[in-house]
Amino acid sequence: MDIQAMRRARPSARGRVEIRDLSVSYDGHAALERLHLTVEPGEFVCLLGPSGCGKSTALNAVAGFVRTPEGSVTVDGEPVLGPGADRGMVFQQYSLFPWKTVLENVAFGPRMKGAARAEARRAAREHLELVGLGGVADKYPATLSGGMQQRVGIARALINRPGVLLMDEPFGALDAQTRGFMQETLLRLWDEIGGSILFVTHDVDEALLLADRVILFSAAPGRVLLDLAVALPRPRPEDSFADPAFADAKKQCLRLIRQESRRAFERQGGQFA
Amino acid sequence: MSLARFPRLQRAGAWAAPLRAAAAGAATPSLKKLAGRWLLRLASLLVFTAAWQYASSTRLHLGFVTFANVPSPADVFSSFVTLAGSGKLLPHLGSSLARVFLGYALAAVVGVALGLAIARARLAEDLLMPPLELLRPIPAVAWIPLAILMFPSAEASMVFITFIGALFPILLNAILGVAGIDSRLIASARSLGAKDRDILFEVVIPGAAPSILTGLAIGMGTSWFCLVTAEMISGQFGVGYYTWEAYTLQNYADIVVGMLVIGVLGMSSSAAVRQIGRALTPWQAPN
Repeated sequence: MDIQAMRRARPSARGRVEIRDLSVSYDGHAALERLHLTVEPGEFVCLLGPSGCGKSTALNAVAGFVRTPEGSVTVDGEPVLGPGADRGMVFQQYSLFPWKTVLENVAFGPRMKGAARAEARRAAREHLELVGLGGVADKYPATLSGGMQQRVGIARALINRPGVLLMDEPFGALDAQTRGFMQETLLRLWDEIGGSILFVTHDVDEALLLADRVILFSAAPGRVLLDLAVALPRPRPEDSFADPAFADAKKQCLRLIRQESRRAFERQGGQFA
Repeated sequence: MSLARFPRLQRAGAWAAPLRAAAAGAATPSLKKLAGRWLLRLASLLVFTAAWQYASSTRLHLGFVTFANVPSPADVFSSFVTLAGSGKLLPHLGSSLARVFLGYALAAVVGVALGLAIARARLAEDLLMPPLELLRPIPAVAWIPLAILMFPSAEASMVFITFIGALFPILLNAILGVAGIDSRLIASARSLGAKDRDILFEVVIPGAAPSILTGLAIGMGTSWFCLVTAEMISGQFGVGYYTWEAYTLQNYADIVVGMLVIGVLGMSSSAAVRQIGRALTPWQAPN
Protein backbone atom coordinates (compact mmCIF):
# COMPACT_ATOMS: atom_id res chain seq x y z
CA MET A 1 0.00 0.00 0.00
CA ASP A 2 1.53 3.33 -0.95
CA ILE A 3 1.49 6.34 1.33
CA GLN A 4 -1.48 7.93 -0.42
CA ALA A 5 -3.63 4.87 0.04
CA MET A 6 -2.59 4.77 3.68
CA ARG A 7 -3.54 8.36 4.13
CA ARG A 8 -6.93 7.73 2.60
CA ALA A 9 -7.40 4.66 4.74
CA ARG A 10 -6.85 6.59 7.98
CA PRO A 11 -10.05 6.03 9.92
CA SER A 12 -10.15 9.55 11.34
CA ALA A 13 -9.44 11.09 7.96
CA ARG A 14 -11.57 14.14 7.23
CA GLY A 15 -12.06 16.33 4.23
CA ARG A 16 -14.47 14.47 2.00
CA VAL A 17 -15.92 16.98 -0.45
CA GLU A 18 -18.90 16.10 -2.59
CA ILE A 19 -20.18 18.37 -5.30
CA ARG A 20 -23.41 17.07 -6.81
CA ASP A 21 -25.13 18.44 -9.87
CA LEU A 22 -23.87 21.96 -9.23
CA SER A 23 -24.87 24.69 -11.67
CA VAL A 24 -23.85 28.29 -11.06
CA SER A 25 -24.49 31.26 -13.31
CA TYR A 26 -23.80 34.96 -13.08
CA ASP A 27 -26.03 37.45 -14.87
CA GLY A 28 -27.30 34.74 -17.17
CA HIS A 29 -23.83 33.39 -17.99
CA ALA A 30 -23.39 29.81 -16.90
CA ALA A 31 -20.12 29.35 -15.04
CA LEU A 32 -20.69 25.75 -13.98
CA GLU A 33 -23.08 23.25 -15.46
CA ARG A 34 -24.12 20.16 -13.53
CA LEU A 35 -20.71 19.64 -12.03
CA HIS A 36 -20.02 16.38 -10.22
CA LEU A 37 -16.84 16.14 -8.22
CA THR A 38 -15.72 14.16 -5.19
CA VAL A 39 -12.59 14.67 -3.15
CA GLU A 40 -11.71 11.76 -0.89
CA PRO A 41 -10.47 12.39 2.66
CA GLY A 42 -6.77 13.13 2.62
CA GLU A 43 -6.65 13.50 -1.14
CA PHE A 44 -4.79 16.25 -3.02
CA VAL A 45 -6.90 17.30 -6.00
CA CYS A 46 -5.92 19.95 -8.54
CA LEU A 47 -8.51 21.74 -10.66
CA LEU A 48 -7.00 22.61 -13.99
CA GLY A 49 -8.50 24.40 -16.94
CA PRO A 50 -8.46 27.39 -19.27
CA SER A 51 -9.06 30.76 -17.65
CA GLY A 52 -12.70 31.55 -17.03
CA CYS A 53 -13.66 27.87 -16.99
CA GLY A 54 -15.31 28.00 -13.58
CA LYS A 55 -12.65 26.20 -11.57
CA SER A 56 -12.43 29.07 -9.09
CA THR A 57 -16.21 29.18 -8.94
CA ALA A 58 -16.23 25.52 -7.91
CA LEU A 59 -13.66 26.32 -5.20
CA ASN A 60 -15.65 29.33 -4.00
CA ALA A 61 -18.77 27.17 -3.83
CA VAL A 62 -16.98 24.75 -1.48
CA ALA A 63 -15.70 27.73 0.55
CA GLY A 64 -19.27 28.98 0.86
CA PHE A 65 -18.72 32.28 -0.94
CA VAL A 66 -21.20 31.42 -3.71
CA ARG A 67 -24.87 30.67 -3.24
CA THR A 68 -25.69 27.27 -4.66
CA PRO A 69 -29.45 26.98 -5.13
CA GLU A 70 -28.92 24.40 -7.88
CA GLY A 71 -27.09 21.31 -6.79
CA SER A 72 -25.44 20.48 -3.51
CA VAL A 73 -22.03 20.82 -1.90
CA THR A 74 -21.20 18.85 1.23
CA VAL A 75 -18.01 18.58 3.26
CA ASP A 76 -17.79 15.52 5.49
CA GLY A 77 -21.51 15.06 5.05
CA GLU A 78 -22.40 18.60 6.17
CA PRO A 79 -24.05 20.80 3.54
CA VAL A 80 -22.12 23.99 2.83
CA LEU A 81 -24.33 26.97 3.72
CA GLY A 82 -21.66 29.67 4.05
CA PRO A 83 -17.99 30.15 4.86
CA GLY A 84 -16.71 28.34 7.95
CA ALA A 85 -13.61 27.32 9.84
CA ASP A 86 -13.91 23.67 8.71
CA ARG A 87 -12.71 24.78 5.28
CA GLY A 88 -9.47 26.77 5.10
CA MET A 89 -9.06 29.29 2.28
CA VAL A 90 -5.85 30.56 0.72
CA PHE A 91 -6.07 33.24 -1.98
CA GLN A 92 -3.50 34.09 -4.62
CA GLN A 93 -3.31 37.64 -3.20
CA TYR A 94 -2.31 36.37 0.29
CA SER A 95 -5.08 38.48 1.85
CA LEU A 96 -3.42 38.85 5.23
CA PHE A 97 -4.85 41.51 7.54
CA PRO A 98 -2.45 44.43 6.98
CA TRP A 99 -3.16 45.91 10.42
CA LYS A 100 -2.26 42.75 12.30
CA THR A 101 1.24 41.47 12.85
CA VAL A 102 2.18 38.13 11.33
CA LEU A 103 1.58 36.44 14.70
CA GLU A 104 -1.82 38.09 15.17
CA ASN A 105 -2.81 37.04 11.65
CA VAL A 106 -2.09 33.39 12.41
CA ALA A 107 -3.69 33.64 15.86
CA PHE A 108 -6.93 34.94 14.32
CA GLY A 109 -8.55 31.52 13.78
CA PRO A 110 -8.10 30.23 17.34
CA ARG A 111 -9.23 33.59 18.74
CA MET A 112 -12.42 33.39 16.68
CA LYS A 113 -12.99 29.94 18.18
CA GLY A 114 -12.80 31.53 21.62
CA ALA A 115 -9.27 30.54 22.60
CA ALA A 116 -7.59 32.73 25.21
CA ARG A 117 -5.18 35.27 23.76
CA ALA A 118 -2.09 33.60 25.21
CA GLU A 119 -3.16 30.17 24.01
CA ALA A 120 -3.93 31.50 20.51
CA ARG A 121 -0.54 33.20 20.34
CA ARG A 122 1.26 30.06 21.47
CA ALA A 123 -0.45 27.99 18.77
CA ALA A 124 0.29 30.72 16.21
CA ARG A 125 3.98 30.72 17.14
CA GLU A 126 4.07 26.95 16.67
CA HIS A 127 2.51 27.21 13.23
CA LEU A 128 4.87 29.99 12.20
CA GLU A 129 7.77 27.71 13.14
CA LEU A 130 6.15 25.05 10.98
CA VAL A 131 6.37 27.29 7.91
CA GLY A 132 9.82 28.54 8.91
CA LEU A 133 8.75 32.06 9.86
CA GLY A 134 9.29 32.10 13.62
CA GLY A 135 11.63 35.06 13.20
CA VAL A 136 9.14 37.51 11.69
CA ALA A 137 6.25 37.00 14.11
CA ASP A 138 6.08 40.66 15.13
CA LYS A 139 6.42 42.18 11.67
CA TYR A 140 3.54 43.56 9.62
CA PRO A 141 2.68 41.58 6.46
CA ALA A 142 3.51 44.45 4.10
CA THR A 143 7.17 44.18 5.11
CA LEU A 144 7.44 40.53 3.96
CA SER A 145 8.13 39.09 0.51
CA GLY A 146 5.29 37.47 -1.42
CA GLY A 147 6.47 33.95 -0.64
CA MET A 148 6.69 34.72 3.07
CA GLN A 149 3.25 36.31 3.07
CA GLN A 150 1.79 33.24 1.44
CA ARG A 151 3.44 30.98 4.01
CA VAL A 152 1.76 33.10 6.68
CA GLY A 153 -1.52 32.67 4.78
CA ILE A 154 -1.11 28.89 4.77
CA ALA A 155 -0.20 28.81 8.47
CA ARG A 156 -3.22 30.99 9.22
CA ALA A 157 -5.52 28.56 7.37
CA LEU A 158 -3.96 25.37 8.76
CA ILE A 159 -4.04 26.43 12.41
CA ASN A 160 -7.79 25.71 12.38
CA ARG A 161 -7.12 22.12 11.19
CA PRO A 162 -9.67 22.42 8.38
CA GLY A 163 -10.86 19.11 6.89
CA VAL A 164 -10.15 20.54 3.47
CA LEU A 165 -7.75 23.29 2.47
CA LEU A 166 -8.97 25.36 -0.49
CA MET A 167 -6.29 27.10 -2.51
CA ASP A 168 -7.01 29.47 -5.39
CA GLU A 169 -3.84 29.70 -7.51
CA PRO A 170 -1.90 30.29 -4.29
CA PHE A 171 1.53 30.41 -5.93
CA GLY A 172 0.46 32.15 -9.13
CA ALA A 173 1.99 35.49 -8.15
CA LEU A 174 5.36 34.08 -7.09
CA ASP A 175 8.58 33.71 -9.07
CA ALA A 176 9.59 30.24 -10.23
CA GLN A 177 12.18 29.50 -7.50
CA THR A 178 9.87 30.63 -4.72
CA ARG A 179 7.03 28.63 -6.26
CA GLY A 180 9.08 25.43 -6.20
CA PHE A 181 9.99 25.99 -2.57
CA MET A 182 6.37 26.74 -1.69
CA GLN A 183 5.19 23.54 -3.39
CA GLU A 184 7.64 21.51 -1.33
CA THR A 185 6.57 23.28 1.86
CA LEU A 186 2.91 22.64 1.10
CA LEU A 187 3.47 18.92 0.47
CA ARG A 188 5.43 18.61 3.72
CA LEU A 189 2.63 20.32 5.68
CA TRP A 190 0.00 18.17 4.01
CA ASP A 191 2.00 15.10 5.02
CA GLU A 192 2.31 16.28 8.63
CA ILE A 193 -1.16 17.69 9.17
CA GLY A 194 -3.32 15.62 6.82
CA GLY A 195 -6.69 16.64 5.47
CA SER A 196 -7.55 17.02 1.82
CA ILE A 197 -6.53 19.84 -0.48
CA LEU A 198 -8.49 21.32 -3.36
CA PHE A 199 -6.07 23.37 -5.39
CA VAL A 200 -6.90 25.57 -8.40
CA THR A 201 -4.11 26.21 -10.88
CA HIS A 202 -3.64 26.81 -14.58
CA ASP A 203 -0.10 25.42 -14.48
CA VAL A 204 -0.04 21.82 -15.75
CA ASP A 205 3.43 21.10 -14.28
CA GLU A 206 2.29 22.33 -10.88
CA ALA A 207 -0.85 20.19 -10.97
CA LEU A 208 1.07 17.03 -11.94
CA LEU A 209 3.78 17.66 -9.36
CA LEU A 210 1.33 18.15 -6.47
CA ALA A 211 -1.86 16.22 -7.07
CA ASP A 212 -3.14 12.71 -6.49
CA ARG A 213 -5.79 13.54 -9.06
CA VAL A 214 -5.99 16.24 -11.69
CA ILE A 215 -9.46 17.34 -12.75
CA LEU A 216 -9.51 19.13 -16.05
CA PHE A 217 -12.38 21.56 -16.63
CA SER A 218 -13.96 22.34 -19.98
CA ALA A 219 -14.32 25.92 -21.16
CA ALA A 220 -17.28 27.70 -19.52
CA PRO A 221 -19.75 26.46 -18.50
CA GLY A 222 -17.34 24.23 -16.60
CA ARG A 223 -17.78 20.47 -16.69
CA VAL A 224 -15.26 17.76 -15.86
CA LEU A 225 -13.46 16.91 -19.05
CA LEU A 226 -10.84 14.60 -17.66
CA ASP A 227 -10.33 13.01 -14.25
CA LEU A 228 -6.74 11.89 -14.23
CA ALA A 229 -5.16 9.90 -11.39
CA VAL A 230 -1.49 10.91 -11.21
CA ALA A 231 0.33 7.62 -10.86
CA LEU A 232 3.76 9.10 -10.15
CA PRO A 233 5.26 7.92 -6.86
CA ARG A 234 5.93 10.43 -4.09
CA PRO A 235 8.04 12.27 -3.27
CA ARG A 236 8.27 13.70 -6.75
CA PRO A 237 11.66 15.32 -7.19
CA GLU A 238 12.59 17.81 -9.88
CA ASP A 239 13.52 15.04 -12.32
CA SER A 240 9.94 13.76 -12.26
CA PHE A 241 9.57 16.02 -15.27
CA ALA A 242 11.72 13.55 -17.20
CA ASP A 243 9.52 10.59 -16.29
CA PRO A 244 7.66 9.33 -19.39
CA ALA A 245 4.44 8.97 -17.40
CA PHE A 246 4.72 12.64 -16.42
CA ALA A 247 5.40 13.68 -20.00
CA ASP A 248 2.43 11.69 -21.30
CA ALA A 249 0.04 13.11 -18.72
CA LYS A 250 1.30 16.61 -19.43
CA LYS A 251 0.84 16.17 -23.18
CA GLN A 252 -2.70 14.92 -22.66
CA CYS A 253 -3.61 17.84 -20.40
CA LEU A 254 -2.05 20.47 -22.63
CA ARG A 255 -3.79 19.11 -25.71
CA LEU A 256 -7.20 19.26 -24.01
CA ILE A 257 -6.59 22.73 -22.57
CA ARG A 258 -5.53 24.06 -25.94
CA GLN A 259 -8.60 22.55 -27.53
CA GLU A 260 -10.86 24.06 -24.86
CA SER A 261 -9.22 27.47 -25.07
CA ARG A 262 -9.71 27.44 -28.80
CA ARG A 263 -13.37 26.51 -28.39
CA ALA A 264 -13.91 29.30 -25.88
CA PHE A 265 -12.13 31.76 -28.17
CA GLU A 266 -14.24 30.78 -31.18
CA ARG A 267 -17.44 30.92 -29.16
CA GLN A 268 -16.62 34.50 -28.23
CA GLY A 269 -16.45 35.30 -31.93
CA GLY A 270 -12.67 35.09 -32.31
CA GLN A 271 -11.05 33.53 -35.35
CA PHE A 272 -7.68 31.92 -35.76
CA ALA A 273 -5.72 33.23 -38.70
CA MET B 1 -10.90 36.02 -12.00
CA SER B 2 -11.86 34.33 -8.79
CA LEU B 3 -14.03 36.97 -7.17
CA ALA B 4 -14.67 39.19 -10.13
CA ARG B 5 -18.22 38.04 -10.41
CA PHE B 6 -19.29 38.55 -6.81
CA PRO B 7 -19.90 42.25 -6.40
CA ARG B 8 -20.22 42.06 -2.62
CA LEU B 9 -16.95 40.23 -2.40
CA GLN B 10 -15.13 42.34 -4.91
CA ARG B 11 -13.40 45.55 -4.02
CA ALA B 12 -10.05 46.88 -5.03
CA GLY B 13 -7.26 46.58 -2.48
CA ALA B 14 -7.26 50.06 -1.05
CA TRP B 15 -4.45 48.93 1.16
CA ALA B 16 -1.95 48.74 -1.56
CA ALA B 17 -1.65 52.48 -2.20
CA PRO B 18 -0.63 53.74 1.25
CA LEU B 19 1.51 50.69 1.85
CA ARG B 20 3.33 51.15 -1.40
CA ALA B 21 3.81 54.82 -0.62
CA ALA B 22 5.20 53.87 2.78
CA ALA B 23 7.58 51.42 1.17
CA ALA B 24 8.76 54.05 -1.30
CA GLY B 25 9.47 56.48 1.52
CA ALA B 26 11.18 53.79 3.55
CA ALA B 27 14.65 54.87 2.47
CA THR B 28 15.28 57.27 5.37
CA PRO B 29 16.77 60.53 4.15
CA SER B 30 19.98 61.56 5.82
CA LEU B 31 19.81 63.98 8.73
CA LYS B 32 21.68 66.55 6.69
CA LYS B 33 19.09 66.48 3.91
CA LEU B 34 16.30 66.78 6.46
CA ALA B 35 17.95 69.78 8.13
CA GLY B 36 18.36 71.34 4.71
CA ARG B 37 14.66 70.98 3.97
CA TRP B 38 13.68 72.54 7.28
CA LEU B 39 16.03 75.44 6.64
CA LEU B 40 14.34 75.95 3.29
CA ARG B 41 10.91 75.98 4.93
CA LEU B 42 12.06 78.51 7.51
CA ALA B 43 13.52 80.67 4.74
CA SER B 44 10.17 80.53 2.92
CA LEU B 45 8.38 81.87 6.01
CA LEU B 46 10.98 84.62 6.42
CA VAL B 47 10.72 85.70 2.79
CA PHE B 48 6.93 85.75 3.07
CA THR B 49 7.12 87.96 6.20
CA ALA B 50 9.70 90.24 4.63
CA ALA B 51 7.55 90.72 1.53
CA TRP B 52 4.56 91.53 3.74
CA GLN B 53 6.63 94.00 5.76
CA TYR B 54 7.82 95.67 2.58
CA ALA B 55 4.34 95.88 1.05
CA SER B 56 2.70 97.31 4.16
CA SER B 57 5.47 99.74 5.15
CA THR B 58 5.67 101.23 1.64
CA ARG B 59 1.84 101.21 1.37
CA LEU B 60 2.23 99.31 -1.84
CA HIS B 61 -0.53 100.00 -4.33
CA LEU B 62 -0.93 97.51 -7.14
CA GLY B 63 -3.77 99.30 -8.96
CA PHE B 64 -6.50 96.83 -8.06
CA VAL B 65 -5.39 95.76 -4.59
CA THR B 66 -3.73 97.98 -2.03
CA PHE B 67 -1.66 97.33 1.07
CA ALA B 68 -2.25 100.87 2.36
CA ASN B 69 -4.47 99.71 5.25
CA VAL B 70 -2.68 96.43 5.91
CA PRO B 71 -0.81 96.46 9.23
CA SER B 72 2.84 95.43 9.07
CA PRO B 73 4.18 92.27 10.70
CA ALA B 74 5.86 94.43 13.35
CA ASP B 75 2.52 96.12 14.23
CA VAL B 76 0.81 92.75 14.36
CA PHE B 77 3.48 91.35 16.63
CA SER B 78 3.22 94.24 19.06
CA SER B 79 -0.59 93.93 19.05
CA PHE B 80 -0.23 90.26 19.84
CA VAL B 81 2.07 91.03 22.76
CA THR B 82 -0.44 93.56 24.06
CA LEU B 83 -3.28 91.06 23.75
CA ALA B 84 -1.29 88.32 25.44
CA GLY B 85 -0.40 90.70 28.29
CA SER B 86 -3.99 91.90 28.74
CA GLY B 87 -5.26 88.51 29.92
CA LYS B 88 -7.99 88.49 27.26
CA LEU B 89 -6.28 86.00 25.00
CA LEU B 90 -7.00 82.95 27.12
CA PRO B 91 -10.77 83.48 27.45
CA HIS B 92 -10.99 83.95 23.67
CA LEU B 93 -8.88 80.88 22.99
CA GLY B 94 -10.70 78.86 25.64
CA SER B 95 -14.18 79.50 24.30
CA SER B 96 -13.14 78.80 20.71
CA LEU B 97 -11.35 75.59 21.66
CA ALA B 98 -14.26 74.38 23.79
CA ARG B 99 -16.76 74.95 20.96
CA VAL B 100 -14.58 73.29 18.35
CA PHE B 101 -13.81 70.25 20.42
CA LEU B 102 -17.40 69.72 21.50
CA GLY B 103 -18.79 70.08 17.98
CA TYR B 104 -15.94 68.10 16.49
CA ALA B 105 -16.20 65.26 19.00
CA LEU B 106 -19.94 64.94 18.31
CA ALA B 107 -19.27 64.96 14.57
CA ALA B 108 -16.58 62.30 14.95
CA VAL B 109 -18.86 59.96 16.87
CA VAL B 110 -21.92 60.52 14.68
CA GLY B 111 -19.97 60.61 11.40
CA VAL B 112 -18.03 57.41 12.01
CA ALA B 113 -21.05 55.51 13.37
CA LEU B 114 -23.31 56.59 10.49
CA GLY B 115 -20.56 55.98 7.95
CA LEU B 116 -20.00 52.41 9.16
CA ALA B 117 -23.74 51.72 9.19
CA ILE B 118 -24.32 53.18 5.72
CA ALA B 119 -21.40 51.34 4.18
CA ARG B 120 -22.25 47.98 5.74
CA ALA B 121 -26.06 47.85 5.65
CA ARG B 122 -28.12 48.48 2.56
CA LEU B 123 -31.14 49.40 4.70
CA ALA B 124 -29.16 52.10 6.50
CA GLU B 125 -27.87 53.35 3.15
CA ASP B 126 -31.36 53.62 1.68
CA LEU B 127 -32.82 55.25 4.77
CA LEU B 128 -30.04 57.69 5.61
CA MET B 129 -28.25 58.61 2.43
CA PRO B 130 -31.00 60.60 0.62
CA PRO B 131 -31.41 63.29 3.30
CA LEU B 132 -27.66 63.37 3.95
CA GLU B 133 -26.93 63.83 0.25
CA LEU B 134 -29.41 66.70 0.21
CA LEU B 135 -27.87 68.42 3.24
CA ARG B 136 -24.25 67.80 2.27
CA PRO B 137 -23.80 70.56 -0.33
CA ILE B 138 -25.23 73.20 2.05
CA PRO B 139 -22.26 75.09 3.50
CA ALA B 140 -22.24 75.19 7.30
CA VAL B 141 -22.36 79.00 7.13
CA ALA B 142 -25.79 78.79 5.53
CA TRP B 143 -26.99 76.98 8.65
CA ILE B 144 -26.25 79.95 10.92
CA PRO B 145 -29.66 81.73 10.75
CA LEU B 146 -31.56 78.49 11.25
CA ALA B 147 -29.21 77.39 14.03
CA ILE B 148 -29.85 80.63 15.90
CA LEU B 149 -33.59 79.98 15.62
CA MET B 150 -33.32 76.33 16.61
CA PHE B 151 -31.05 76.39 19.62
CA PRO B 152 -31.70 78.00 23.00
CA SER B 153 -28.33 79.79 23.18
CA ALA B 154 -25.79 81.27 20.81
CA GLU B 155 -23.29 78.90 22.39
CA ALA B 156 -25.27 75.81 21.37
CA SER B 157 -25.85 77.12 17.86
CA MET B 158 -22.10 77.71 17.38
CA VAL B 159 -21.31 74.21 18.56
CA PHE B 160 -23.90 72.95 16.10
CA ILE B 161 -22.25 74.86 13.25
CA THR B 162 -18.85 73.31 13.99
CA PHE B 163 -20.57 69.92 14.19
CA ILE B 164 -22.11 70.37 10.74
CA GLY B 165 -18.80 71.58 9.35
CA ALA B 166 -16.90 68.50 10.54
CA LEU B 167 -19.66 65.93 10.00
CA PHE B 168 -19.62 65.47 6.25
CA PRO B 169 -15.91 64.98 5.59
CA ILE B 170 -15.82 62.47 8.47
CA LEU B 171 -18.94 60.67 7.29
CA LEU B 172 -17.89 60.45 3.65
CA ASN B 173 -14.38 59.24 4.43
CA ALA B 174 -15.78 56.58 6.75
CA ILE B 175 -18.05 55.33 3.95
CA LEU B 176 -15.18 55.39 1.45
CA GLY B 177 -12.90 53.60 3.91
CA VAL B 178 -15.30 50.72 4.38
CA ALA B 179 -16.04 50.52 0.66
CA GLY B 180 -12.32 50.29 -0.06
CA ILE B 181 -11.71 47.23 2.10
CA ASP B 182 -10.55 44.27 0.03
CA SER B 183 -13.48 41.85 -0.03
CA ARG B 184 -11.05 38.93 0.22
CA LEU B 185 -10.11 40.10 3.71
CA ILE B 186 -13.72 39.74 4.79
CA ALA B 187 -13.98 36.41 2.99
CA SER B 188 -10.77 35.22 4.69
CA ALA B 189 -12.06 36.28 8.09
CA ARG B 190 -15.30 34.35 7.58
CA SER B 191 -13.35 31.28 6.50
CA LEU B 192 -11.39 31.56 9.72
CA GLY B 193 -14.60 31.44 11.74
CA ALA B 194 -15.34 35.16 12.24
CA LYS B 195 -18.94 36.18 12.95
CA ASP B 196 -20.55 39.50 11.96
CA ARG B 197 -19.44 41.19 15.16
CA ASP B 198 -15.85 40.01 14.67
CA ILE B 199 -15.92 41.20 11.06
CA LEU B 200 -16.93 44.67 12.25
CA PHE B 201 -14.30 45.02 14.97
CA GLU B 202 -11.47 42.95 13.51
CA VAL B 203 -11.75 43.78 9.80
CA VAL B 204 -14.10 46.66 8.95
CA ILE B 205 -13.01 49.21 11.56
CA PRO B 206 -9.25 48.67 11.28
CA GLY B 207 -9.62 48.35 7.50
CA ALA B 208 -11.40 51.68 7.24
CA ALA B 209 -9.20 53.34 9.88
CA PRO B 210 -6.74 55.09 7.54
CA SER B 211 -9.56 56.68 5.58
CA ILE B 212 -11.51 57.53 8.75
CA LEU B 213 -8.43 59.26 10.13
CA THR B 214 -8.05 61.26 6.91
CA GLY B 215 -11.67 62.35 7.33
CA LEU B 216 -11.02 63.32 10.94
CA ALA B 217 -8.03 65.46 9.92
CA ILE B 218 -10.02 67.21 7.18
CA GLY B 219 -12.99 67.61 9.53
CA MET B 220 -10.79 69.34 12.08
CA GLY B 221 -9.90 71.97 9.49
CA THR B 222 -13.48 72.54 8.35
CA SER B 223 -14.77 72.74 11.89
CA TRP B 224 -12.38 75.64 12.65
CA PHE B 225 -13.41 77.31 9.46
CA CYS B 226 -17.08 77.08 10.39
CA LEU B 227 -16.59 78.04 14.01
CA VAL B 228 -14.85 81.29 13.18
CA THR B 229 -17.63 82.26 10.80
CA ALA B 230 -20.25 81.45 13.40
CA GLU B 231 -18.41 83.45 16.07
CA MET B 232 -18.22 86.49 13.82
CA ILE B 233 -21.99 86.56 13.68
CA SER B 234 -23.10 85.55 17.12
CA GLY B 235 -20.26 85.41 19.61
CA GLN B 236 -19.17 87.33 22.69
CA PHE B 237 -15.91 85.52 23.15
CA GLY B 238 -13.77 83.52 20.80
CA VAL B 239 -11.10 84.13 18.22
CA GLY B 240 -13.59 84.75 15.42
CA TYR B 241 -15.48 87.26 17.54
CA TYR B 242 -12.20 88.96 18.46
CA THR B 243 -11.29 89.31 14.79
CA TRP B 244 -14.65 90.76 13.86
CA GLU B 245 -14.68 93.13 16.85
CA ALA B 246 -11.24 94.38 15.83
CA TYR B 247 -12.63 95.22 12.41
CA THR B 248 -15.63 97.11 13.80
CA LEU B 249 -13.31 99.01 16.15
CA GLN B 250 -10.88 99.61 13.26
CA ASN B 251 -7.96 97.97 15.10
CA TYR B 252 -6.43 96.69 11.90
CA ALA B 253 -3.44 95.05 13.54
CA ASP B 254 -5.77 93.06 15.81
CA ILE B 255 -7.62 91.72 12.78
CA VAL B 256 -4.46 90.09 11.59
CA VAL B 257 -3.63 88.85 15.09
CA GLY B 258 -7.02 87.11 15.12
CA MET B 259 -6.45 85.65 11.67
CA LEU B 260 -3.05 84.29 12.54
CA VAL B 261 -4.26 82.82 15.82
CA ILE B 262 -6.99 81.00 13.87
CA GLY B 263 -4.38 79.76 11.40
CA VAL B 264 -2.09 78.47 14.11
CA LEU B 265 -4.94 76.81 16.04
CA GLY B 266 -6.35 75.13 12.94
CA MET B 267 -2.96 73.97 11.78
CA SER B 268 -1.87 72.57 15.12
CA SER B 269 -5.14 70.77 15.84
CA SER B 270 -5.07 69.14 12.38
CA ALA B 271 -1.45 68.14 13.00
CA ALA B 272 -2.45 66.70 16.37
CA VAL B 273 -5.20 64.61 14.74
CA ARG B 274 -2.75 63.33 12.12
CA GLN B 275 -0.21 62.51 14.81
CA ILE B 276 -2.77 60.56 16.84
CA GLY B 277 -3.85 58.83 13.64
CA ARG B 278 -0.31 57.76 12.89
CA ALA B 279 0.03 56.30 16.38
CA LEU B 280 -3.22 54.38 15.91
CA THR B 281 -2.21 52.86 12.56
CA PRO B 282 1.34 51.63 13.15
CA TRP B 283 1.14 49.19 10.22
CA GLN B 284 1.18 52.11 7.83
CA ALA B 285 4.57 53.31 9.01
CA PRO B 286 7.65 51.89 7.32
CA ASN B 287 9.45 49.63 9.79
